[in-house]
Amino acid sequence: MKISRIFIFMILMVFVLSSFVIAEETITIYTSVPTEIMTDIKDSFEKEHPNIKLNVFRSGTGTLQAKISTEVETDNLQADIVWLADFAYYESLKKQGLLKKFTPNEADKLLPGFKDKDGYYYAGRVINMIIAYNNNLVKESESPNSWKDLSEDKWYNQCVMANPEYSGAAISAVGAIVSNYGWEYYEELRENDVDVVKGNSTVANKIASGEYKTGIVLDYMIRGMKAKGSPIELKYPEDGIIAIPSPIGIMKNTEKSSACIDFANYILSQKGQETLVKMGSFIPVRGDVEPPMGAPNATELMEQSMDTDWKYIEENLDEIKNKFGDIMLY
Amino acid sequence: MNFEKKTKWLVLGGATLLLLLIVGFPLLLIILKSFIFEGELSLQHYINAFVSKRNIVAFSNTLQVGIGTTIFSVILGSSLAWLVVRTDLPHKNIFRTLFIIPYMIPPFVGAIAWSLLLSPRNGYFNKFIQLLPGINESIFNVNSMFGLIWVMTLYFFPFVFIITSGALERMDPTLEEVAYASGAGTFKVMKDITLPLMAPSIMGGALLAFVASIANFGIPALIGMPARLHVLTTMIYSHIYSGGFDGIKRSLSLSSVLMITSISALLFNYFYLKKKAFTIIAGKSMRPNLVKLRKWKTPFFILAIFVVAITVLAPSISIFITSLLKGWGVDFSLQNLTLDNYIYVLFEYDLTQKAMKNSFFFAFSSATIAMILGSFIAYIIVNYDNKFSKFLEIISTIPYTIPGTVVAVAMILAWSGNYVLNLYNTFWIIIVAYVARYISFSVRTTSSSLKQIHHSLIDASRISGANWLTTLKNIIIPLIKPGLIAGWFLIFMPTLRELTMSILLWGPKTVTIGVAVFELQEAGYFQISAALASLLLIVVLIGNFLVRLLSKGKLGI
Repeated sequence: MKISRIFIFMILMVFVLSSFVIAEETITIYTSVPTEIMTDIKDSFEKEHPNIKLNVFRSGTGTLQAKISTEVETDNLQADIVWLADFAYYESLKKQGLLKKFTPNEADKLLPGFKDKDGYYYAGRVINMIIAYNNNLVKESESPNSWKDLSEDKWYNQCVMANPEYSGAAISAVGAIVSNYGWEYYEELRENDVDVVKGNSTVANKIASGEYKTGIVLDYMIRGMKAKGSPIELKYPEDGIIAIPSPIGIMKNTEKSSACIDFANYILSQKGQETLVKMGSFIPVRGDVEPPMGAPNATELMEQSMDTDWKYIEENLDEIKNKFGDIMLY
Repeated sequence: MNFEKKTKWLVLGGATLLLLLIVGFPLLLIILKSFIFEGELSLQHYINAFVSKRNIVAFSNTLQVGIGTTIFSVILGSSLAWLVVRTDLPHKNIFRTLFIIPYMIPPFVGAIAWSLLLSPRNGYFNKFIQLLPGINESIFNVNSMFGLIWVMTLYFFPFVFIITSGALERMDPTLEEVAYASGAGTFKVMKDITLPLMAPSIMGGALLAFVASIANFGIPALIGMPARLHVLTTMIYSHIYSGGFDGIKRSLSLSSVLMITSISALLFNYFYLKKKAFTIIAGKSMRPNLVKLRKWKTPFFILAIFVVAITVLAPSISIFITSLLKGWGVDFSLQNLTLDNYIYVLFEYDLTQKAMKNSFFFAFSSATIAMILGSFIAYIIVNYDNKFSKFLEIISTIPYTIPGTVVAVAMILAWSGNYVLNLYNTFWIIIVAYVARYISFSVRTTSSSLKQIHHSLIDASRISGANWLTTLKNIIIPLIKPGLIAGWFLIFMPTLRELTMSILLWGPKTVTIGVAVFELQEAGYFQISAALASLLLIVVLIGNFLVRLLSKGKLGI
C-alpha cells in the first residue's frame, strides 16, 4: 500500500508544484530595459495599478526579436507588450500586422520624432550610444573625442562594444555609423582589436572594472553607475551621439489590451517619466520632465545626434548583422 | 482478452507509444527535415552548411577541442587511476573520491570559475602572478583554444578515470606477476603488459570524454565565444538566438553534423572495441600487487593534492570569493565582502527566484515522469526478449548519447505546433526534453534491478491468484524500490543544473537556474551569477554525497 501512496503523492506534487509555476492573470512584456531598472519600473507600475501584474521577460533586443519571430511562426506569441531598443524594428512589426493601434492619454506631450505617425508605437525612452571611459585609468584630456578616435593606436585592445546580434541599440548604432563612415570604420576597429561582448551592461561593467579603458555603450547605464560611485565617465562624441528612441508597442492579438494601454499610459505620463529618470537615468521623452543631473534634455540631444536612416536599417537588418559578423565576430 | 491482460497491454503499449512519441519522433523528424529543402528531397541544407566559412571553422574547432580534450583526459585520467588503484599512495581512497568531484560540478560553473581565474585582463591568478618580480602582464589566457581544452579536460577526465580505475581493479594480476618473475622491471611491465591490457578501457573512457566535450555548450560559450572561437554547439545557439525560425532551419544541418560526429564515435567504440575488451580481464576479483612508490611517494602525494587543488579547490574558491564581493573589480579587503549577493539572489531578485522554483519543479517532474515511463520500458525489455524490445532499448539510449543541443532542436521542431501539440514556450517542452534525454538512466537502473528478481517470486504471486497489477504493486515494485529511488536522484541532479537544452527552450515563464547563471554571467553581473552558482554547487555536491551515502557508495553521478 505504501508504494502506491508514494506514487500518488509524487504525482500530486507535480501538480501542486506546477500550480506555483503557472502565473496569475498578468500581462507579459518583452523588453530590453536592464533587469534592475525594469524591476523598479515594475514595482512602481504595480503600485499604481494593483490589479495588474507585470511579467517581465528581459533579454537583448536581438534575442527577443528572434524569439518573437519564432513565436509568430509557431503561432504561440506570448508577449502582450514589446519595449525594445530598435526603432526600425517597429516599422516591420507594423507592416507584418502584429501591432495594435492605440492612443495613449498624453500622446501630444511626447516630443516630435518619438511617435509613429500612424499611431502604432510610442517611444517610452530614448537611449543614446556614446563613448565611456574608466577615469581611474584614463584622464579626461586623453579620453577619445570622436568615434574615429577609437581606431587610434592608444586604444589598441582597450576598447569594447556590444554585439548587434544581441543588442538592438548596437545594431542601430552600427547602422548609423556605417551609413556615415562605411564598413571601413569597423575594419579599422577590428585591426585595433576592439572586442565585442554580449550586451551594453556587459560593456559598462567591463569598463568600470578596468578590464577595458574605453568602449561604445549606452548613456544611461554610465550615468547610473557613475552615480553609484563607479570610476566611469561618459563622453558625447564630437561627430554625434546616436539617439535611439525605444518604443512601446502593443501586440494586436493580446486579450488584455486595456491593461497594456494602462502600462503605456503610465510610462508616458509625467510620473512614469520621472520614475525612469530617477531609476534608470534615462533622458525623458517629454519636455516637462527634468533630465538627470548634468544631462541634456531630449531636444538638445537630438541636435547633437548623428543622422540615422531608420529605413536603411529596417530594410538591411540581416545584411548589417552579417557584414558586422564577418568583420568583427568570426 | 480478459480485463487483466487488457490493462497490461494498455499500460505497456501506452508506455511504448509515449517513448516513441517523445523520443523517436522528434529525432526522426530532425534527420528527415535536414534532407528536405524548400519541400524537396535534397542535400541543400548540408551544402549550405559547408559553404559557410563560419560553419567550417566551427566544425574544425569542434574536432580540435574534442581531440585535444580526449588526449589530455586520457593522460590525466589513466595515470591518476593507476596511482589510486595500483600504487601504495597514501590516503588513496580519499583521493579516489576527490578525483570524481569534477564530474559533479556543472561544466558551465567550472567555465565561470576558470574565466575568473585566468581571464587575460583581470583573472585572479594572472593578477597574482604579476606580484612576482619581472612579470608585468597576464601570462595565461583562458579565452583561447588551449584554455578551452584545459577547462574541458578538468571536467571530463573523470570519464577516463572512472572506467580505467574500475578496469585496473578487475585486471588479472597473474599476467603481471609472470612478467615480473621473468625479470621485467616496473616500467617494462607497464609498457608491455598493463597498458596494452588497459587500452580498450582507456579507449572507452576516451570516447566518452570526446563525445561529452563536443556536445558541451557552457564551456565554449563562456570561454570560447569571447575570443571569437566558435564550435558547433555555440554556432547552433547563435543561429537560433539571432535568426528566429529561419535560424532554427539553418541550424538543422549543423545539428545533424554534430549528431553524426558523436554517433560515429560511439559506433566505433561499439564495433571495434567491444570485440577486444573481454578476454583479458579476469572475472574473479583478485587483489593485484601494489607498486611500491618508495622515494616517489611524497612527490606523487603532492601531485595528487595539486590535482585536487586545480580541479576542485581553486575553482570553488574563486567562485565563492567572487560571490562575496560588493562590486565587480573591487579588491578583497574585508570591508568589500558581503552576503548581500546571496540575499539578493534568494529573496529579492525576481529572475533568480523564478529560476530556482522552476528548476526544482522541472527536475522533480522530469525525474518522476522519466522513472515511471522508464520502468515500464525496462519491464518490457527484461520480460520480452525480442527484436522490438531491443529496438526500444536502443531508442531510449539515443537521446543521452547524442548532444543535448540536438535533442533541444528536435523538440522545437516536433512540438511547436506543426504536429498537433504546441508546447513551445511552455514548461512542458522543457520537461519533455529532460525526460527524453535522461530516460536511459531510468531504463538502465530499473532493468538491472528487475533482472535480479527471480521468476519464482512472480510465479508464486500468480499462483496465489494475484493479477498483474497486484503482482507489480506487491512484489515487483517493493523489490526494485532502491533502484527506483537511486534512478530518480540520478535524473533529478543533472536536470536541476541543466543548461545546454534549457538555453534553447526557455521562454518568458520558464527560466531555469542554469539559464539564469549563464545570462547573468554574460551580462557582466559576475558577483550575482557567482552567488547563484555557489548555491547550485552546494546543492549538487550535497545531493551527490547523500546519494552515495544512501546507496553505500554504489551510486552517485
